Amino acid sequence: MANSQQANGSAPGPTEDYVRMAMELKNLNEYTLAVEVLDKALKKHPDNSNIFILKAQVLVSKFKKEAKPDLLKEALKSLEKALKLDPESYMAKILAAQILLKGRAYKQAGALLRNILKRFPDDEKAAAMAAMLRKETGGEPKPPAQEAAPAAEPAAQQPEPAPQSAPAEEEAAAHPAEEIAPAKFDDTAPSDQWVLDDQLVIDASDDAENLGHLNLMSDKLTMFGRIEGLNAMFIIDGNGQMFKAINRGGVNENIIPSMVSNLYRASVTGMKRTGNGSFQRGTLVTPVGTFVIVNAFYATLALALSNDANMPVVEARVQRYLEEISE
Amino acid sequence: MTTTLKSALTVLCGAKSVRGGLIITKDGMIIESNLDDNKQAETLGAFMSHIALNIKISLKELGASDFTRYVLQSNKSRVFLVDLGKSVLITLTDPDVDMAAINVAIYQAANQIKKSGRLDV
Repeated sequence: MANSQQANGSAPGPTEDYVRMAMELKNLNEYTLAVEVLDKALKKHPDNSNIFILKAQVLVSKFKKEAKPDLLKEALKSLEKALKLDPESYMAKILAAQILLKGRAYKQAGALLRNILKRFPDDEKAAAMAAMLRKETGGEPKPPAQEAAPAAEPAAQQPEPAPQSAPAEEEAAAHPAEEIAPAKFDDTAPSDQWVLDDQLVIDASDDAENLGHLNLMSDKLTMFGRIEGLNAMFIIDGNGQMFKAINRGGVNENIIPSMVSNLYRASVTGMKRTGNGSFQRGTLVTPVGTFVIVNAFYATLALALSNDANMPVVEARVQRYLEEISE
Repeated sequence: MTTTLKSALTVLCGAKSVRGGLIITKDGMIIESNLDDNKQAETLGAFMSHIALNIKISLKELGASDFTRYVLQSNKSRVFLVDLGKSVLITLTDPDVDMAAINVAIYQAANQIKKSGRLDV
């Protein structure tokens, strides 16, 4: 552990202060103020992809109120920066794809959707957007798992027949890890003649109703304070956006939350589609540390630990944490 | 060589609370399986290889290549993925499996598979 004596986790870092303040302002529909807060945050933390994503979400919300296309362009620029910092951010890619679809920038939206579906062949949101795009363009793009993974959820109790439920197999064979390139985002800025699709509503993923739960989850993180070997804790909301980080071990705050969110998504799908029930938690042991990913009802809790951490103690603490936040 | 792999899985699956095991390549092809239901094996192999792929992509960003293991826990079961280099050992157990005992059983099976030399681990 970097410093177990400071491990009460109660003092939020400056990034969390900004994020929380911006989210609260966003929920109060004070979008201009929220953007100002995030711009200040970005001056202090120009390498934080999560702030860029949150700024884009605020700008989309502002667009919904004011209907100024420039707001979407600004949001897209913010997402472009987020993706340069974290090329695997699902949230940045899916939101950018929605904005591009809204702006009828179909080619660029298609490229992003293909990228998402390569990584997550069962992603319902991306599959639905790809279907919409195919309808608009008459065939572009063809998501790799579209035929294999219908949008409707299959029964969780029975394993799916392999040919219908094994998109990953085909996909992995066709696109091994090395071939899944980061989303290209460089020349995707829509032109000034951008014509918005009035029918399309961008889901900016408002989490107003969850803010109370997320705050409670943040407050309860103090429970993990004295665990030896604990380097960082993250709360990642349902959209894959980091809500809270307590990082004592210099863990990469751009990559880890994105990794956790992507792995959580794959794990939930994997367990459900193989008839193994609802994913509760995962423990990933790697040469660079151990990561515990917990389905915490309203969000995902991620713990980054050193490999010599006492896992039974961690497990017991996670269980107690879940009991307390569900009371 | 297949006999060695089969034997490793047979011993592993004889452990308490173990429902089945299989060895897959990283692109999801089954090398050896101890699951009775072939379709279940194929499905499990496909989805778990997808998860292994996700881990690999993320670790690459962190400067690492392979993972040691990943344990998924649900209300119905636990699934253990052990990285064997070019292949992955998957073990399906009851949710309340004795972790100490299963860790030993999986470690032994993984070693036996590695010793077979076939999988270039």
